[in-house]
Order: sequence, then C-alpha cells, then structure tokens
Amino acid sequence: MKPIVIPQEDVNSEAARIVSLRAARGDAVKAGDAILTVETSKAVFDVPAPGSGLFLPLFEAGAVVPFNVPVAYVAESPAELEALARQARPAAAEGGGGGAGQARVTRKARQLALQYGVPLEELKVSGIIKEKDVQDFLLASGRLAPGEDQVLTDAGQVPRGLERVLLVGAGLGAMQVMDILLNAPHQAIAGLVDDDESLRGTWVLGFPVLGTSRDLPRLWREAKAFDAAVVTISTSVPVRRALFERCRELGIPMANAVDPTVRRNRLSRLGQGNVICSFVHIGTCAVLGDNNFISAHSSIEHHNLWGSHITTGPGVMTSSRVRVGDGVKMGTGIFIQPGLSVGKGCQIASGAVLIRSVPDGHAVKTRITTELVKLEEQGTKQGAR
Amino acid sequence: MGPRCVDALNQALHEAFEASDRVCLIGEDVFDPYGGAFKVTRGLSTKYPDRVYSSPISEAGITGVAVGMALRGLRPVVEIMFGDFICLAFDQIVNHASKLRAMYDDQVTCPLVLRAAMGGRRGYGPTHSQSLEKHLVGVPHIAVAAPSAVHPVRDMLRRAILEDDRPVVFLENKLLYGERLLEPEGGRFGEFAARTSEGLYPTVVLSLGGFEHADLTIVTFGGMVPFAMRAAEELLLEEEVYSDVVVLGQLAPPDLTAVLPSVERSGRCLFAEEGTLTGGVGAEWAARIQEAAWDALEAPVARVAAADDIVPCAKALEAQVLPDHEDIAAAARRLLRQGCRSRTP
Repeated sequence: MKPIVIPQEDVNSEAARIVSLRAARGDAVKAGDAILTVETSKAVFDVPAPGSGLFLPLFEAGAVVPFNVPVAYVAESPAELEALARQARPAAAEGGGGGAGQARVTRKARQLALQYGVPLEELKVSGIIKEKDVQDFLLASGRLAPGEDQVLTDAGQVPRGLERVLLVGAGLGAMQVMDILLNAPHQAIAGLVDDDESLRGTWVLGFPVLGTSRDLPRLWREAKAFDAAVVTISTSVPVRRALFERCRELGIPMANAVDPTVRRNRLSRLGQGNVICSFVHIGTCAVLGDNNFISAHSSIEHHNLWGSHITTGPGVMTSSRVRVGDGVKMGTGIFIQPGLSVGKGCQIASGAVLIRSVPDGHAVKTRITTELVKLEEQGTKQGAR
Repeated sequence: MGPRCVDALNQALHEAFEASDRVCLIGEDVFDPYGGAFKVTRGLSTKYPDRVYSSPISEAGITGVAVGMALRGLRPVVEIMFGDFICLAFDQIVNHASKLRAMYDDQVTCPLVLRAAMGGRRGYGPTHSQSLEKHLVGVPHIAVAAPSAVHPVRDMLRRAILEDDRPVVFLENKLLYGERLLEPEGGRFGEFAARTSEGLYPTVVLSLGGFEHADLTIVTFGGMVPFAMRAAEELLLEEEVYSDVVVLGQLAPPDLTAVLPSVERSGRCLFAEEGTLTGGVGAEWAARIQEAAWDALEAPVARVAAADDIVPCAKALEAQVLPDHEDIAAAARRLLRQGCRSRTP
C-alpha cells in the first residue's frame, strides 16, 4: 500500500484543488503514471503514482485537499484495496469537517451546574452555555429563590481552594477590610451584607451587597455562597459584638482579615474574626481574642493579653504585659504603660496616656487643651511694618 | 459560509467592469492564465482585453499612470502585488493622487482604487509580510479601507471602484484571500450579535453580550479579526467576560460613530492590529477614543500590535513578532484588572 500525498510545490498555498483523476477505483496503475492533476494558487501540475497497483481515490474531482493528508492509495491487492476503503475516511476536506461537536460551556456555568447537579444537556441553549443560562434554569425550576442568583455570580468567580469571605457591614470599615482581603493570597471576597436594606443590590468596590444580616441563614445554609465571615464595623462595639454572635449562632466560621504588612511575632496568638489593619505590630507572645478591629499602626507589645470585641483607632501603643478586657473601645493615639490593665467595656479617649489601670466599665477622658488662633494674613503684617 | 474572499473580490472586479466601461485595471502579472499573484484578477484580461494592463515591475509607474487615467475620467484599479511595495508608489499617493483635487479647487477628481495585499504569517519574510496601514492613515484626502471576513467584501470593492471619487487604498489581508467569508444568519455571526453601519466601508460591531452588556471593546480590522473573535470567545468561556469586537472597514478618515456606544457600554477598550506598535493605526484611534469617551473609560486604551521589528521568515520567529489571539487575551486580562473607578463589573 502506498499513500498519495500532494506535494507542496510553492509556499503560497496550503491546499490544492483536484482538477481531474486519470484513473478510477480499482484501476491498475503503474509507478510514475500521472494519475492526478491538481491546482494551487500558483500552478497546475500532475501527481505521479508512487508505485504500481490498484488505485483507490479518497476524494472526487473538485475537492480542495490540504497537502499533509493522503488523497488516494495504491493498493497491492483487491483485498487490501477493500480493507483500505473500509478504514480510510477522507480527512477534513474543505467544508466537510466539524459536525455538531460538544456543547461549549463557560467555566462559571460549568461550576454552577456541578454545584447544583444540573445536567447541561437539559438546558435549551443554542451556542455557548453561560452562567446566566444555568441560573435561569435553576430559577425556573424553583431551585433558586429570586435574588439568589446574584450571590452565585460571585461565588463562582472565586477559584477553588480560596476561602470565600462574606463581609458583614458595608460601610467604610468594609472598604478597609476589602483592601486587606484583596491582598490576601488565600482569601477572596464573596460579597457583603448590611442591615441598611437600601444597599441591597448595590456594589462596593465592585462586589455586591447581597442582602441584610437576616439573609445570613439563607446565604450560608442554602446558597453556600461563602466559607467564612468577618464583621467590618469598627465604630460601634455593641453592634460589632451582636453581628459576630449572630454569625456564631449560625455556625459560620469567622475569618481573620490580616493585612500583609502586619508584623506578628513569635508565639503571638489570634482568635477568629479579627480585622488587623496595615502596619500593626503584634509582639512576642501577645494574645488577642476574637472579633477585634485593630486600626493601622497600632502596636500591641509582647506578652499583652487582649480579650474580644475590642476596637482601636490608629496608633494605639501599649507597652509590655498590658491586659485589655472584652468590648473596650479606644480612640486614636493612645499610650499605655507596662503591666497595666484596662477593664471590660471601658472607653479610652484619643490621646490618653495611661499611667494606672482602669477598672471595668470606666471611661478615660483626656484633658488636652488646644487653642485655635487665626493666622494673620501676610498682607496685613507687611502693611503694619 | 460565504464565498472565498478571493472569489468575492474577483466578482466585485467583474461587476465593476461590467457596470462601467470607464473601469480599468493595471498591475503586475495580472493577465490570464496567471491572474495576479493571489488570483484576484482571474478572468478579467480574457473578458476585457483592452481594459487590463499587465505592467512592468514599477509600482511608481503603475500608480502614476493610474493617477493620469483617473484625472482624465477613467476609474482605474491598481493592483500592488505585495503591500510592502506600496512604498514605491508613495510619492504618487502622497504628493499627487491625494492632493490634486484640493490643489485644483475641485475641478478634477482622482477616483482610483489601489489594492494591495498586507500581512504576514506565511513565512514570506521582512519585505513581503508587513502591514503598512499606519503610513497611509495620516494622509489627508484619501480613504483607507480594509475588508475582513465579516464584511460584505464584494460590495465594498465594487462600490469603492464605482462610487468613491477619492483615491482609495484598499488593503486586503493575505490570509483572508483563501478564507471563506462569514455570512450573518439572523443578524448574528455565530455567538456574536452583529450590527453593520452604513457607508461605503462599514464598521461591523460584533457583540457577545447582545449589545446590552460588555466588559471590553476590542477594536480591530483586517487579518486580526479572526484572532480578536477567538480571544473574545476564550475570554467568555474562561472568565465569562463579554466583549464587543468592533471591526473597522475604514481606517481613515477615522469615524468613531460605531465605536463609541460600545466603549460607553464596556469602559475598557483595546485596539489590535498586525502592524508594528509605534506610531500605529491604534495610536491614532486610541487618542481619538480617549478624547471622545474619557468619562466612560475605566482605564487607558490598550494596544496590541506587532513588535517594533522586522517580520522574520521562519514561522516560529514570525509568530513571536506578530500578535495573535493569545496576545489579545493577555492584554485584555491586564486591562480588565486595571482601573479604579466605581463601575460595577
């Protein structure tokens, strides 16, 4: 058996048209016979038989055939010719290839279909199957409640293996937390909830507000739209605490959002649901509980022992062995001497310098006096000279 | 599928010759049976022996003769075998054809169509593979047209010859010749909804989001169109990013009418061309799009083009220099991450 392949006579063409066949199927041909005439964009030329035997054409006159596939065979016996004819299927001649082929599905649509066990062949979609097509199918079949399709949009965006974090609270704190999570290699943002109903369906930094905290059970149990949550509110300790406890009741794991610039020293410990902002220093053996919000540039020195639900402004500096109780709220720029303790629920005003311990439930006020003096305009000064 | 591009162009020439006996053609090796290096002029010299001129190898001479014919009332078609040789005709285009009508205060017109094959990917090397559109788009008073697989190619060339009184440079991509043209079915090219603008050299806007939603606008033309369409489909399949592919039919004078609605939908725009980057067609269009649609843009208009280098003969090296669908998709991914305005994704 010898295949006949059209030689590439010029670089201008990648295929040739068969102008004529000088032999029919089963005809005896001799090596060197000009059995095919073909035409490229440059020339018309004959193709000789590569050997003697029985001719088996695979294409008819007029077909356009690429240079790299057999266009015919020369068989050595009638039996071989029959065998070749059975197995030889003309390779993709122009216009002949393709067929229906497999349905094309976007990656997100495939993920969603897998998640819900949707058989893709049941979707009556022509062309590429998109996530929206799967969502529409789920909505139409009652397997998704209206509004739930939105959360899935973003759940599907998160590559496998990343922790999808839901942000509780969609205010200024949320934007800080988003910045932290966008820089976290192991975490991704699944969306936000906020108890301001008017924010539902809006977007924060490109991520959707999926509903209020009342939607948490549905989003967690039914939609499985996230893997963990974090409370982003820093201004109100009671609200922060209540939202954290609500999540815990639902069995939601709470994620720590720790900025990559944070310095955590050896043997320091962090509970869960903490937000630790840029450039915070957590000293050796320092321990923080759960659900704290520590603002930028704060320094929690070695062997500190902090409870839970604590919020600080930027630049809170403690010395060693300081203890801070649950639910403490601290302002901006506070210094605390070594070994002191701050009791539960205390509030410390900005600029305070603590030189003795504060018992539970106390506020620390500061008496820093500042005076506003209006600067004289330069022209007036010069005029008085 | 429609006819092969080379057959559509050939038909257009036959139709134009039949419609007006003022139409004539001059070029190298255009006589039958050869019918031109890419077979576009096949059959013309047999049917119209006194209106087809096979010339010596002199692009300046060919174009100069055609300018004279056009001034005297004929409608000549010039075939430049390889677009690279348009450089030899540059004086006739820039200093003569484009200027005569304005210099003679509209008393003359110069209606000639200069056809040339552009583009690489065939291993023809540095002087037979270029895309030199950028040298032409800045010439006042000429039209630079570029058909593609989604254009009504036959109508474009026939109307350029019969209806356009300007000098027209009609740039055909080599790879396109052998391809079958795509024909819209029910207003769509496959996955893409399509709208074709009015005009002699229409803009075809292809939209994966059905003209309702777009994350990205890819503006392109000629031989880059299949790459842009492929990149757009891959971005949809991989990342569910919806692109509009805006296929220009007229590179100059620039007309943004069909581009701007898409850019306003998407906020992100990428210009893809096969020619070299610096001072490219994309530079001009990007500047104009940014001036016109600054408020809508999330990020600067990105450009995908050939490296500022020669086009090598070896196919592997050629592929490194010329942009393809992977370059477009990579640039698109970079562009989609750029920008900080508060648009929803």
